Amino acid sequence: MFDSLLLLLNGFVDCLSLMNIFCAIVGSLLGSLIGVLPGLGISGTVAILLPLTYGMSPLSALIMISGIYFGSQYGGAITSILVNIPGEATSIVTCFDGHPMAREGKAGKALCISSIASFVGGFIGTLGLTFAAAALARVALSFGKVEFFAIVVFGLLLLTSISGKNQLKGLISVALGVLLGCVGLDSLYGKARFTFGIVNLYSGIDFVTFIMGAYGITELLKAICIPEEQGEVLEFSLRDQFPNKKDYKECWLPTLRASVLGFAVGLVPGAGSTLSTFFAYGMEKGLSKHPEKFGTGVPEGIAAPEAANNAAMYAGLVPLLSLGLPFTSSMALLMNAFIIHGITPGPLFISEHPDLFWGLIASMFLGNIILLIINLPFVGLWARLLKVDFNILMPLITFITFAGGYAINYSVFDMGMMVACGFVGFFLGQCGYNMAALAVGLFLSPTFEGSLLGTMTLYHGDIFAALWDRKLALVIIILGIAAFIFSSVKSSRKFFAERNAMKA
Amino acid sequence: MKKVLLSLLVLLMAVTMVFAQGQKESGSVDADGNWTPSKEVSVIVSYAAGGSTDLLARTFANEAASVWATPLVINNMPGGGNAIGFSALRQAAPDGLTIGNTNSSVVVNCLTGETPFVYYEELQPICQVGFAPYIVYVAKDSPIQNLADLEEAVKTRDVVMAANNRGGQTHWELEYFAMKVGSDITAVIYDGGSASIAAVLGGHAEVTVQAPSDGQEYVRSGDLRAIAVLDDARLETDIYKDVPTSVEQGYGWLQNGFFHGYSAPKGIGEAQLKYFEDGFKKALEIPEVREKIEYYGFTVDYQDAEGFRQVWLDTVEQYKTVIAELGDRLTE
Repeated sequence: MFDSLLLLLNGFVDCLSLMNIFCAIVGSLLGSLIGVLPGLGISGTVAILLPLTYGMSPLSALIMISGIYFGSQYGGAITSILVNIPGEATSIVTCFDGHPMAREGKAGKALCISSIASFVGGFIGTLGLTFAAAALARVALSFGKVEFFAIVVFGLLLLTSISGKNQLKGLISVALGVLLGCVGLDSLYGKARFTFGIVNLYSGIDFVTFIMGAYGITELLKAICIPEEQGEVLEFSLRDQFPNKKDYKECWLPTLRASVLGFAVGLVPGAGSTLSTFFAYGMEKGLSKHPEKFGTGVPEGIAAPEAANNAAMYAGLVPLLSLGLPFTSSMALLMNAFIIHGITPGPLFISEHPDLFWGLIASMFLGNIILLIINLPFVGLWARLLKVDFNILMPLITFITFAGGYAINYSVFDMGMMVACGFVGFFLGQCGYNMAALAVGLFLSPTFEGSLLGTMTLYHGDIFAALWDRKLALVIIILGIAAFIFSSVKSSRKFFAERNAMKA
Repeated sequence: MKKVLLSLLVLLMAVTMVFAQGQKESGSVDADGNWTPSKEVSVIVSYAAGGSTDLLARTFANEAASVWATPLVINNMPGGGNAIGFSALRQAAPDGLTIGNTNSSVVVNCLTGETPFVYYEELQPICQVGFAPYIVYVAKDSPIQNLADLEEAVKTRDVVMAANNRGGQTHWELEYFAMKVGSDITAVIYDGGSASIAAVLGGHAEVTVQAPSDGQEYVRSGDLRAIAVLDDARLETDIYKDVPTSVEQGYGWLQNGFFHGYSAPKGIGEAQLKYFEDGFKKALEIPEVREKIEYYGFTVDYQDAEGFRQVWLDTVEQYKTVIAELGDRLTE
């Protein structure tokens, strides 16, 4: 522990040069920007910027690139809150309460809460990385196919109850999402499924394309078809743009809890950071004194997922930094940034390059503070965006959405796909199906399928034997089923009570 | 006024289009038959920017910029398990202004999965620049020390292997091995190399087949043990120079590797083809380029267009034989 502190101090000495601070600021700014512009992902930006870093020292380059990476997590919440378009999977849950709060005229407050929660989550995540990276790496490795299967099932079941009112429709939405995730070359056999011979469908329905359609285009369709639902954003007073004492009081505990939970779930390789957001949201909803208010713009509904996804992002670095194993495409890109500068992350990285590792960790503390400082002043500006005349704002959003849809793969086909997803999203949404559940189902579909088939192979088709053999998986799945049954009983009771009331 | 402006604009566009039409020549050929492109050459890479294939292609564009008459511009077309990039390459005009990266997927995908067309028949190879053999790794606490031990283990107990994709290049070798020695192996499919290695490190699988670059850090740290290079020649790097080949260990029928090379749309002219063949050959003489190729785990191994085609055809032959022998073992 003391050694770590000493090394960390050394790291601060290394990273606190003018050049490095400049790189951290540039990276954070760019990251926030790409987080705001949907479609412009981390991967593309980093790939474009990599050549620019050739001339820098490895530490400066890494600081800049990880700044982009963490900045995007901050920025991702902005579109979720303001216009109800999540830029990536991890900010879907932020829409639940963030957007309703913005519609009440408190966009600034929502953004502040999200920034501060992100800061706390990031800070706690960095602490976790500082003191436990090496030990936690082995925890990440202990996750086998069976545990993956269990946690994905748990996540999908939980999703049905936290998103929306009707649990049956939630279940249908999740199932539909998983089914949509089957389009394309399946990851196991390389066989084309539901592609109708269209080459562009071989790679499946891109997740970002889908959410940009199902959220962005859907908003547009709603504005055209049911304008009366749009209405004006309610009164806009400057006092409401910043969190008050009550908000802080309501949020501090959920933020801390969610940060710790987010870091723990973030250790699950791959899908961890997305899962962490709705685990945190579900936990807060369960613990809250007023669970029925969730989804209408409660502050803890914003703080929890934002703290969780930031903490989880740092946990996601654990396998990369201590073992050299990137589990997501953005992690793989970060790894390439290391490689370009002549460092191959692997099990020996921390012991062979302590200066880099600790410099990077120190830069994360620094980056967190920079992000908070550069984000808070913009809150007022962003919040005012909603005061822009709807007839100007909507075309602008549409333009950015289309440009983003094209920018993901530079493909016109994807733009068409996005529009199609928009129509599907609009009609399903009007029928009361939940887009968040559908989107996350789509996102988790490959993990679900891969872990299920892997489990089947390992245990020769006997899934019960598999669960019995791996007790952790068994516990997770029982918890998931229990939570599912509990909430479906509750929601069906409410349903019948309402129907009886209507009859009477 | 507006109308005038508008019509001027239309006229301007029309004129540009006519000129653009007129400039159909993709390049010029001098008296000695040497072709020079008229503008930059687009290189289609069927992976997202930032991956190792992309970075290698960018090495040829940047570090080797001096050998090209006009710049090479990388055009990333990821997705569809290479199908999108390879399809775009096939549909491009064979005028020498579009070439593409082709790795082993150009053959393997057609034989082990579904593809929109037969890549290796409808693309024109330009050259191979590098080759890498696959390596068999086991967990550090596994009792298996060599292929003979693996044979013994497969025969006497249930051995779990981690593969990166079903039927693909890191899967069939050990299924084939198990079949040849008259037994069976349990293959669990993971999502790519990192996940497979993680499975072995975490004790969920005992053995895996990976590219030399993917496993080397774990061999260095002692977490993985390399037991065989699936080729007839050992690798020369410090980490792998003591690892015996499958041929040395008496399992000569177990060999596999992968290549990195470039191709053009079918029908490209002789002069254009020669421009690229010579260019890549010259690029491989630049120390920085060789260094990068070796860094990504390849051995520099230049093959001209005909040589590269032969590599494709040999791989096709090899895979067809293996797949026929394995039958439904790969899909079970």
